[in-house]
Amino acid sequence: MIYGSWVLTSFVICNILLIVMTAIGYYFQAKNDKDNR
Amino acid sequence: MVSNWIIMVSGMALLIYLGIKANAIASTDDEAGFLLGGRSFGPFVAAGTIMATGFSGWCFVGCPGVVYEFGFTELLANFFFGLSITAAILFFGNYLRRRAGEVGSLTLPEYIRQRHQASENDPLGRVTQGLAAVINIVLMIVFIVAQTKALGLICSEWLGLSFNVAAVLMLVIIILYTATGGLAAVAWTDVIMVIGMTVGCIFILFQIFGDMSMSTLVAKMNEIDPELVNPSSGRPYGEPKIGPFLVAPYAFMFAAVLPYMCVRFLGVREDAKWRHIAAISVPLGIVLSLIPIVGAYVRVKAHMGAIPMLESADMAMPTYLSNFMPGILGGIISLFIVFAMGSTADSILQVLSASVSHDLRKALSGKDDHDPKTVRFINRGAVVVMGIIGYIAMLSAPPAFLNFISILGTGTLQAAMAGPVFIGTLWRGNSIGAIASMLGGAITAGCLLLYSDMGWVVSPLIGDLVGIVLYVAVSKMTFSINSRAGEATAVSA
Repeated sequence: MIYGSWVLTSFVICNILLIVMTAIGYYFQAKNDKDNR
Repeated sequence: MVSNWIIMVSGMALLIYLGIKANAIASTDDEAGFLLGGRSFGPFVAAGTIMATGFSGWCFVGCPGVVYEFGFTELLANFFFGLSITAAILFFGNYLRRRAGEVGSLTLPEYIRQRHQASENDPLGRVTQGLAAVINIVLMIVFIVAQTKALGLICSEWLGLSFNVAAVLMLVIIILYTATGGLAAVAWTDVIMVIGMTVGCIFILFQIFGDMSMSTLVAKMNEIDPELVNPSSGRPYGEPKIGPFLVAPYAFMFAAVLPYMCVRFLGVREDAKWRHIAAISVPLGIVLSLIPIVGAYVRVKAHMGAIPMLESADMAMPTYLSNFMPGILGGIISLFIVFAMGSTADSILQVLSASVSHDLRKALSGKDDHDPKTVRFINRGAVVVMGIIGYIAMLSAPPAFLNFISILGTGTLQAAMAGPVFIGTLWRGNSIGAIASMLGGAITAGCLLLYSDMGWVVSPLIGDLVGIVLYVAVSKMTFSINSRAGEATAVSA
């Protein structure tokens, strides 16, 4: 656990989750736009 | 004090200038010019206005106070606003924008009507739009009372004015640019504000981490009380540790269905890429969600004896600014905090006045044959009148319920809109289902907020669920007597 805290560990994981979620959403929307062109 | 006035006048002059510039969009004959900024928002404006409105003054003043009192749980909970608003942009905004564009909706109550009415002549359509407008007006007046009060409190201390004079001054400025430039002015000024908020946040983080590292801050908090760092419960979000995680679905619905948030989705340019809006929102969300750390820093400094212990946790940010951000820098950051509050207040005022001038007018008259000049006059007049009503309501509101009235307004409205806006965008019900959902959701969330101790996250979520179940169940049960709009008008769902 980061700094021995489940709250701070969750905070860091959720930050990573936000970036991963946006990257995946970005990729699929870009792919979709390309397919529809 | 003189420097604070110079900073304030410069900041506010910029906002009014943008309002005047936006007048060109707001003054077109198409009512979408005033109500939706001419559907002209590109990714940068859309991301800026959504994030500025989502991260209100609560993020700068309330959250550091909660960290001061309860520890890092609030850092996690506040972060979910950034995550969920981005998720709403990425996975829902496009659908709402497209559906509203198909039927030409200019406001959320109008969208609910047009999405559900069986035909243009369906009398239930007017009832649906009128009911959605009334719910929106009542609950947004409640919310604007809280926002005006918060603005008055901050500005009176910052500028050395009486509370009433400060509240009037801020309200007049917000009315000026909102009435002049409509939603375009609100969105453009929001962009300036979110840049200010982000810069202010970066200044603060530089100061804090220049003084002590994150590991030192955590170690000192642990010395004060281990519960502040590694709590055994989810307090202040209830005893179970899942409590702070429930802010994620709450914040998603907050962004997806609250009219003053999601009306921005309707104003996005047709060729704008939603992935670009989300990509711009991410860094803004990450930086703004770090601001509660101020509360931990102040708590540690007070424990070390550098400053006295606070009488009230809500004083964490003002104490931080007066002790660690002296002079002109503190004044500039105070302006950014005023920006954070103003960006929410102007959005509420815009949506509130649109409900009065557009939705009630259409629901009551049933036709739309006014000439564009008259419509513009009505729209602008409504901004002024609703601003004045908000101020009068604030003067007569009970003094000690600032946070509670904000929660009551947004939580109840969210539950009213969850069925017809969120589910209604993905699966089409009918007008009876939409009416039942709005009433059931609002009553459930309102009663739970007023009469239970479930709190401001769980109560609206239960209201959302009740509203969604009612929307689907009542629609399915009444399709035989009130058909879907798609089936009656052949508009594809």
